[in-house]
Amino acid sequence: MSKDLQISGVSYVLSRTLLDDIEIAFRAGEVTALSGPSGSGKTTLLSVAGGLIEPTSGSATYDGRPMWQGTGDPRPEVAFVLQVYGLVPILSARENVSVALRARGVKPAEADERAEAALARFHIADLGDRQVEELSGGQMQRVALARGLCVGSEVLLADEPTSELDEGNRGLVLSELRKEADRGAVVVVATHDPAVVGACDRHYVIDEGRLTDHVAAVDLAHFAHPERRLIEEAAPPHFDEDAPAVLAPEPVEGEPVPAALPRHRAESDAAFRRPSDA
Amino acid sequence: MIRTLRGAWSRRGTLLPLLLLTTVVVAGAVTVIGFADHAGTSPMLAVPLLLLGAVAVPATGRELANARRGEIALARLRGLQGGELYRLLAVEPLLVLLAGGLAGTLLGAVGAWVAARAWADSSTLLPGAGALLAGAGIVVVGLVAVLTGMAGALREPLSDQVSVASRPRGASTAAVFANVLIVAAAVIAVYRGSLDSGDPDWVVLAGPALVGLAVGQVVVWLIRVVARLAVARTANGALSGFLAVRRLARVADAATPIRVLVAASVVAALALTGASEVDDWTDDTARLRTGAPLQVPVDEDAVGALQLTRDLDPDGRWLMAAVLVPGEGSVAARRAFLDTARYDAVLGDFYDGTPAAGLSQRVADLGGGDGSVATGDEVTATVRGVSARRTGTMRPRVLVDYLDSSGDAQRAALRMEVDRSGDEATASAPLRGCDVGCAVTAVTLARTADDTTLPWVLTALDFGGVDALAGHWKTSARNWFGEPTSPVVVDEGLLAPATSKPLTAQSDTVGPRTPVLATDTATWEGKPLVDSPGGDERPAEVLDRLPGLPLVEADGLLADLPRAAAGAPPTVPVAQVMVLARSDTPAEVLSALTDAAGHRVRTLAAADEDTASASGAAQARVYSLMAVFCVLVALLVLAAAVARQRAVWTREVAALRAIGVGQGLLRRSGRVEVLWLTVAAALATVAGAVAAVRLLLAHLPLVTVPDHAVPLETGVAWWPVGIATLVALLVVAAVAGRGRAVRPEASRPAILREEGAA
Repeated sequence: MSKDLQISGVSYVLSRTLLDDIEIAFRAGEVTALSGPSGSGKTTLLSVAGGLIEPTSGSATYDGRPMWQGTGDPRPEVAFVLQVYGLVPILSARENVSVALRARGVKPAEADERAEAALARFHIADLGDRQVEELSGGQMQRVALARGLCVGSEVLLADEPTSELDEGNRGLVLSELRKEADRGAVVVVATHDPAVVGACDRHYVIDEGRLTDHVAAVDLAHFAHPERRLIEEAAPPHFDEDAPAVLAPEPVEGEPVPAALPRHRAESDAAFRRPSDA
Repeated sequence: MIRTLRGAWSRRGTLLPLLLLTTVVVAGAVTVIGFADHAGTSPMLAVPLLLLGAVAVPATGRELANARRGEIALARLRGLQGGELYRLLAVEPLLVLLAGGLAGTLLGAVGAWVAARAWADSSTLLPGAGALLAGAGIVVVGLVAVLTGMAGALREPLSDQVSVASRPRGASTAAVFANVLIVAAAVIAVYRGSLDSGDPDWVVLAGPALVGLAVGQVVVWLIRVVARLAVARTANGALSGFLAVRRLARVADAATPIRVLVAASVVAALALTGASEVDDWTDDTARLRTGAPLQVPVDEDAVGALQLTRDLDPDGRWLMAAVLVPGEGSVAARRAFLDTARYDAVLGDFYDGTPAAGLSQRVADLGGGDGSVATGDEVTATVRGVSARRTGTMRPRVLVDYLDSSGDAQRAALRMEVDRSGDEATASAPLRGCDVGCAVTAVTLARTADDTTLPWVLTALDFGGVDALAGHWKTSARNWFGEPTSPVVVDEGLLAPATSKPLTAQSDTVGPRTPVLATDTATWEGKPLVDSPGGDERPAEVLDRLPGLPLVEADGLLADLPRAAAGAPPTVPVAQVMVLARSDTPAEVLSALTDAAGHRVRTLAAADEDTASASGAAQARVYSLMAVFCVLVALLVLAAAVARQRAVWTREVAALRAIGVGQGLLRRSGRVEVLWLTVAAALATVAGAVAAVRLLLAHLPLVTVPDHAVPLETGVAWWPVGIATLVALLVVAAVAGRGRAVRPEASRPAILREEGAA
């Protein structure tokens, strides 16, 4: 039985179609990037993949079992790093991590030790006693990552895990995600960040609820908005015409063709490149 | 205006509690003050309700400001500040307050009318200007309170205000000061109440609510302190307790709403206790005043009343004569007289549970067991010689002096002849005017002329059915010449020594010593004395002291009527002569009584109403009504707070479910938290209620105790405290429990996907 996370013919329809006949296999031991414009359905796809929502049709299965359990609770082998962090405000940073371990049956003392170590992995061990409301966005995001990664899940679904992080911390996060994949976990990262996409083994693009093998360029010139500069800065480089495409990995039969990875990578990203990319 | 209304509609969730709070507070105040206009009770009884409203409304103002953070931020970015900004923000709550004030005034008018109809027999339709002014005042004060509550939010840094994520903010200095002020005000209220300087001021009237708020505040502080201490202790415990303790320790307003509920419960406990005690007091006072279930005044003197009852009820089953002499000048001058021989049949357990409850134990002693008062119509004497004799004639004469029922002196003469063997001889004579009671005053032992002077003994003297010799007799010593001057008291009776002179012994029991029961307030300078119904002074033997006695209530003496009337002068004009009757007295007997008396029957229920009306006992009922409004306010405050917390709680549950914490465990965690709050609210209510009842109830103007009435005794009654505690407990359990009971569908982790940052 494959340990891949299979998304088979998944559609999700509310007032409009959010996901349309998605067919993907997120492989164990790989870090898969999922990108696309805002509102394209990335978070919805992660939610279906993690069993948080029931697809209108199709199914998400892991290890031969459906991810949707009927309640909206994720299966024990699944860990999330939510875009909104999902931290519990009444708990300190350490307790937020510790509770996730205790929920999986780890003894309190051991959970606290492992939580401390997990925070240390993201260089925030000194913030362990702070209430999450006292933390900055980036610090909260690292707490959420520490919580998601420390449980040793078989499926790790991270939604924009580096959106609030500087380059150094982004590299740290990507290396930790890589470690998760290396121990055999399915790691899926929804991101707009080309650096993150570049560090992944596989990359899927989703647009308007459908997987796509190409990305249309966006002409920012028609935006006559005073904040255009901000929009330009926020636009992912793969929207940039100047960004030369790189060859995509060999397509697997029966699967959509992953989008091209950007050719240029910042020097600061070197730390978390796969050895084969060097 | 349309924009304002649209804005208000979009924030209806936040504004609804303000609308309901205003409606309830105004309705309660208008009811209490409107009733006061009708019934003359104190409008100040609404003070606790106004205080709770004043505490609750600013919290709503804060919530309103929080709900409008974005709008406030935009207005500030556009340069609005100070008064301009306040005016912008004031329009919406002002509309809500006006709507609530209008609705509350209408409801309060209806409430006042219903209360007045029920408790004051008033048919006035509209509340007075005072009530309407109070309603308008509450709206104005409410607006100020809302804006005060908003002030904190307006001072929030703009950078925080535009942020999606809310940052934890410590309690402001003003909030801490206000909390400390409440505790200080409670202490001041208790102190001012203890001064007993006449009518209590508004601080004392607000005292129960202040004590409740203070105790509630202390308990809220204690919950946080204990929860913080428990944080470390639960680190290795069950996850449900782990989460509950941290929520209580770290969520600023987790326990705060129970403060108002505790205050309302304390006011309710006090009101229930007060109403219960005033009801009991009214009943006790009415029982003591009427003396019996039925009372009929009669235009007779004491003897006439006694005669009337014996004529109409010869067996003594239903009627009893009584006299109240409301003497002035001293407690002892205020005296009541009952025909105590009929006490058991007519009154039985009527005074059980009243301050005169001890009367039934001593009433038999009031009539005196010495037989000095007789109601028979014949006196019988038995004499014998001290020994056999050989010669001479012995024809003893016994002269019995007595006072008849009217106090007139009478004499009965008996003549006997003792034969030579000295054996007993008996003779009888009729008594006159003893239908009500006669009292022996003296016995003279004499000889018929030419009889032997040998001594003889009066061995028995049956005076109208009682043994007159059982009493005490005053005798005198022999004179200078060794001659006897009075009979000699011997074991067998009275000895007539050898002399030809008549010998007289004075009775020491009649008139001289009247057994009485006295209230605790009765004092004498010198020996105890009691005036008879006719006003003549007699030595009194105080059998016992009781807190209250029939007819005289808390001040006076009680004696047996026949005994006191025997030999007394005509009843004094100020005396209130009456016939007391059982509640089940046959109609024909009552009819005959009223026909003879010329007065109507006064029932206990009528006396109860008269007492309640004269003492303003309706205030206790109004106070209870006000307490109901207080509980409604507390319910709204708690429900609004729990509703506010529910959104955060739902997201917490979703976040915890997302990391694998089971729903069952989360439900247990919610229950643990609710249990903490419930126990805390219950303990705080008990502590606050006991403190308020002990320290303040006696100083509240719930009743005006008339002169001579038994005092209103206040003390902790456990059933009102129990009911108030139960209400607090159930409200917290139901409201907080409902707030923590989130449907699994509503708290599924997927709701976190599109929400703001944690």
